[in-house]
Amino acid sequence: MQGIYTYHVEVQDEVDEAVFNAASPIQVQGVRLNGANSRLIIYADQSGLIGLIRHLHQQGFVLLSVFREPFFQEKGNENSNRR
Amino acid sequence: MPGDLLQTKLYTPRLRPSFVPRPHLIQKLNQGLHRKLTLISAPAGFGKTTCISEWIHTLDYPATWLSLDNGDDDPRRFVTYFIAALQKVDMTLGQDSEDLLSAGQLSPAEIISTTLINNMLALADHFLLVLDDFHVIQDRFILQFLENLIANIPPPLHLVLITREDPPLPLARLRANNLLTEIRARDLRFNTHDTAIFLETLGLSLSPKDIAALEKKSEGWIVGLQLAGIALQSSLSVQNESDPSAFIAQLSGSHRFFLSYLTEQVLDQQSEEMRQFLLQTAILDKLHGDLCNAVTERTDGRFLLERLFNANLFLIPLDDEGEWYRYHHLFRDLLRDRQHVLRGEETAVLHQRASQWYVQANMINMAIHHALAAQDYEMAVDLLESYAMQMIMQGFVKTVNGWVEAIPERWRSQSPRTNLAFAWMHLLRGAYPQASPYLEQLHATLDNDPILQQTEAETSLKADWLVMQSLVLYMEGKLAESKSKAEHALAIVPEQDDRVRSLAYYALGSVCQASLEFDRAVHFYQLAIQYGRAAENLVAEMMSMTNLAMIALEHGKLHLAYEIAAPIDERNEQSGSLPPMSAVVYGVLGELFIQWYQLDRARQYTQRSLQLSRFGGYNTAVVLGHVTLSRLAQIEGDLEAALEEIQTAVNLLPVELPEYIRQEVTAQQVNLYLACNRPAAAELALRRQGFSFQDQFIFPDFPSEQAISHSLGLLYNSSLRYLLNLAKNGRTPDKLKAGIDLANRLITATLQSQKTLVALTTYLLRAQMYAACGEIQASHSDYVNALELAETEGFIGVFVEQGQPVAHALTQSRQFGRVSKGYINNILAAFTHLQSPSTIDQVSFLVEPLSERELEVLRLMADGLKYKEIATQLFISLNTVRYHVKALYGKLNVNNRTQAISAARQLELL
Amino acid sequence: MTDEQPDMDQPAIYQIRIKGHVSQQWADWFAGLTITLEADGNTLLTGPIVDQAALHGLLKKVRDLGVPLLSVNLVESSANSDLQTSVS
Repeated sequence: MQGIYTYHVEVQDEVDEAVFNAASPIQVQGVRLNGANSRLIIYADQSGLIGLIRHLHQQGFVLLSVFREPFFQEKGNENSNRR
Repeated sequence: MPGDLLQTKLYTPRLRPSFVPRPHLIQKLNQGLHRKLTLISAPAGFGKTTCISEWIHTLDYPATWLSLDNGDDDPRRFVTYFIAALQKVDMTLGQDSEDLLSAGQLSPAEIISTTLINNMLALADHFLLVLDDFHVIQDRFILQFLENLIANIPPPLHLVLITREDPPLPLARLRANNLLTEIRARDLRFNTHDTAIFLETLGLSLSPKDIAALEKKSEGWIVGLQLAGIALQSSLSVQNESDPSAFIAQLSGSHRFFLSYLTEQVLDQQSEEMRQFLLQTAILDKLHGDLCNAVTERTDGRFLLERLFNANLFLIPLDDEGEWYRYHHLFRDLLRDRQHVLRGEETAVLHQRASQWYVQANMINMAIHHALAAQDYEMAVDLLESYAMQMIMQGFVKTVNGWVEAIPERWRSQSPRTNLAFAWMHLLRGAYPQASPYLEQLHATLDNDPILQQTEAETSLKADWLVMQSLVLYMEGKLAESKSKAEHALAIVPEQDDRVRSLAYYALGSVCQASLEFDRAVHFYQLAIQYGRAAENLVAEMMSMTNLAMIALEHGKLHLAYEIAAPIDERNEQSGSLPPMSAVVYGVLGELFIQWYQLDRARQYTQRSLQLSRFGGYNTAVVLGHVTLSRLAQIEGDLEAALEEIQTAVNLLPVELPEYIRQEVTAQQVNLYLACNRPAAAELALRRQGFSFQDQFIFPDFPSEQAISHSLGLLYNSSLRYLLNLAKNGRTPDKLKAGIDLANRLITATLQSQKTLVALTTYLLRAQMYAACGEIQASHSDYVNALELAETEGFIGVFVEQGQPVAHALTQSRQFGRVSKGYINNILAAFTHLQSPSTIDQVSFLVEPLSERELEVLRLMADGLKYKEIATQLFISLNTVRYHVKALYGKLNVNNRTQAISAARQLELL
Repeated sequence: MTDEQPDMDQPAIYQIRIKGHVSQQWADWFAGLTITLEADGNTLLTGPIVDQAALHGLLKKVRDLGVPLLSVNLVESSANSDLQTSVS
């Protein structure tokens, strides 16, 4: 929850990284094009993630997937049931 | 009043006596004070609000707080509360924006934010503005407003946003430029030390091992810890045998839903009456003793609230009097969930009771909210019937829209007033398609309603509906039917209903204007203005004034047009607001000052008109604005700029626009192309409008010999100019004859319909055509005709736009009828001015000199005194100082102290 | 007016994985979704979501509950039959 993770957020259509970052609440670290879709990589806590998803939604992007990398950096102790 | 402003929303949360101090957070926040913005972004229950209120209490300077809720995601409401919050810091802030809010049509976000920014710039002292629960805001207008505010944040303001998710604002950019201070979940979470102190404040003394276990289980999540603490507290006091370690051990720490478990624990520990009270009052967003009594049918609501507060049960006070409280959002949600599971069938009744209480308390927003929650649509529709029109006219569009959408179709149709309100809103903005579903609804409900014995309210409703139909028919071009509906409305409208009366007169005015009965149109518009004012209905008043000004202008009554248009501009200036509706008024002022040959003012007004019409989405006014700018550039000899402007206008033409716009654009295209020596392009433009210059001069038929529209007159005039250009090359004398014939008919028609502006140009063109044919006497008498027609109103632009041949002709004769020499000299001076445009240094003189007082204030400002100190020194109030500062900024055309001082030095005022 | 843009209004099946086990009594919070408790201690919510706005409403609930979000996946969509599921 309070931890900062790497999230992968995939949406339909192409996201222009520079244009997107200019208005985004969260800096997108990279955009990988995956066919007609875009995979955004961000480094954020959950409030940041949800804010980003909402921003994408308001820009009209269709959300395909979100994926939190299992464990990256964690100061809290949310890792109690880490696999 | 439906827009009830709840002071509880502006309450800065006070600190509980037993809070856990967070020095490292305070330090981080303090370090961020020099940045524009502080963002507190973390999930519910991380103590965001507490953290900021603790911080505020340590600060020396004023802070103002706005707690947002779902209802505030309406631009009108948000801005109202935003200004109210600012006024807690300084009453003068946003005062000039209040008119603009009540105008019923919200100004563009940028204009509102700029106005407020300018207000805040005048403040001497720093202050903090906290927007709590900002995640409820998703409205684009509001976000735009804040984006502008943040981008141009005035130095006195430090903005704090508290939210559960990062708001859709360009924060990444701010972050990258180090303009943002952030406090996030990981900063807020309690560490073991905080946990220990917190448990102590609850009177729990646990072993270090238990504390560590609890911290680990709760993951530093404050609300979880608090709930666990309370559960532990009561379990220890109730059941003495309880072992804290065992209690902690059984908390399922692996996930968040242990909150639910804890809530049950806490609820179970309450007495039956308290448990029921908690569950029943959870439907409320705000708690008041009386309101709780109404909902629970008890009499001790206030007492129970105090007990809950003292028991630390997530009750947050919203004022200092102990009147209003709210539950912690997360706790409230959990309670609602329990209530739903345990006694869901009861919930609707509770909402109904709440709704009734709010009606009694005259807080209509909340009353409707609860009526909808109870699915009591009869009540919701009743309330809408009484309040929707007023609220929509006040600009609470989104709020009302949200309610209407929550009401099922069959109930909606039973609310004619609400449908009327929406239809009006769309119609008055010229959005006919959006209005039509409401109109259909209204036809269905009101047309089959032949009640003879009607109450005043019913008659009023009927009159309202008739006026609306009249305006729709007018827009469809059905003038006779439109007129009869408006007259019918006037015949039955009740004495008191000035709003409907003013709109009916507006409709009649429009019909008369379209039928070219101008005297009657003016009469009706004046009545519309008079009743619009009485009803404080800015819309009818403004639309009527605009049309009046337009008629006056086209009829060549420049002074009258100015008298009508200038007060609108003045009022806008005074209120600092620019309703997009006034775009056309600024267009009129632009044309007026071209004619009076004050080109800078003409350009200013035209640009303002353009800006407003772009904001308001009024495409016709956008196109006309570019046409005027093109003409201005052409007058000033900048043909390249003129071409650019007309091209912009042409590019907008594919947008669905009325024919008259195309005529105005073509007329300027032709005039400009000829000035650029591109006759082929001019010919093409005219050919597209049905003109031909091949073998003989062919032009489209007159729609009527008696009357002609302004724009069609302009188009014919431009064809005459093209003929003149042909003649310049020494050919086509017979075409010139045909041109003179057209000019004769044009002059008859324009004079008959009093289209003076067009007639003047036609006279001047005919004068030149006569001259080209060698008929010097006829030419001279046309100059006399034009000058005599133009003198009283002081027309100049129309002569200058004809170019050098006219200047030449005016110097050729000593006498032009009864026209004064002075007037002719004025016109000639304009031509001279044209040849050698003087470049006046912008700051080399002041249009309006500073008053003695303003100079004194300015000098003290230059000495570095704060406003308070200036006030003391000059024995005047702080507000008077601000007033002078604002005035002198305006005169110096600057925005802040530094600019003012430097401008004053340049002008040697200091 | 400041209304939101229309979404791609196609119903689709989404899978949302959150951390921790949700007890069945919380089913109301996620009305219409099938709740599956996974062996590794997480919860999988699966079900039809009418449009993007509804999906966002659901994520808002996750946000307001303060529960860690692990993944979201569009598994089946009438509009995009060729979409692949992300690996998680």
